[in-house]
Amino acid sequence: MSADRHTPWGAYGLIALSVLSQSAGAALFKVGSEQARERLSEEWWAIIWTWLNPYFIGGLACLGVQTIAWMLVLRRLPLSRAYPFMACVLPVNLLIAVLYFSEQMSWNHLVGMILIGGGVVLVASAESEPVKEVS
Amino acid sequence: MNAAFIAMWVAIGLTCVGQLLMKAANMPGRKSYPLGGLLHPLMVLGLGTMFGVTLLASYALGHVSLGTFTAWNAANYPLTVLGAAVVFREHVSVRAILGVMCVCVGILLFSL
Repeated sequence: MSADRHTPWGAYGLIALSVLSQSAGAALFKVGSEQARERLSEEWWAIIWTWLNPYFIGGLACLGVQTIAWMLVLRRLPLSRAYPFMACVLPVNLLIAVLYFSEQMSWNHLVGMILIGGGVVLVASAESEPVKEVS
Repeated sequence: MNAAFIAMWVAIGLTCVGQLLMKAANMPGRKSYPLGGLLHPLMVLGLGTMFGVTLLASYALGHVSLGTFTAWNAANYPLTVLGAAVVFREHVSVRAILGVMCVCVGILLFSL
């Protein structure tokens, strides 16, 4: 595909995949850690079990997906434009914590989320160098 | 000075360096490397740097509160954008700078 000035929606899709896989990885590591903590009082093999825990393996797989997705993002967008989007991991993690782990959301979390979202929208809509979509 | 704070600040600086290395490995006109570019030396170095950041952050988080760590970690965003502007001569508009500032304030509020 030739270089052009249109909005690189494919790159934004990859950023979303990168953010979601990082958040999913963190959630899986949390579930895995909680299960591992319950077993810490058991025998030494419990430590090995921790690393064979499907949640840990799933978390590592998510981090692998995140790495590849981020690499593809860096090929399509300038770093200064792409990197601020990674701040979206915080609100997504908070949503997972509230919805899945029944944690509390406070006002400063809510206002912080809105500011991060607003900042990311500003960065996304900012004029930048022409970007290349890579086939 | 507290060793944990030094580890945290080094981790923040290295995050910026790691992102710049990964971007350098994925610049247009790059040479072809195995595994879709994952084995590009700069990519390997960048990923290694990020692994080092994880170790430093793990050490720092053992001594510094998560709120303090998250607040300081917000410095990553302006640092990385500044690094990209200096190293890769990327154009950073006023709107993008305002956006990064919004993100930083949002992260600071998050960590309260």
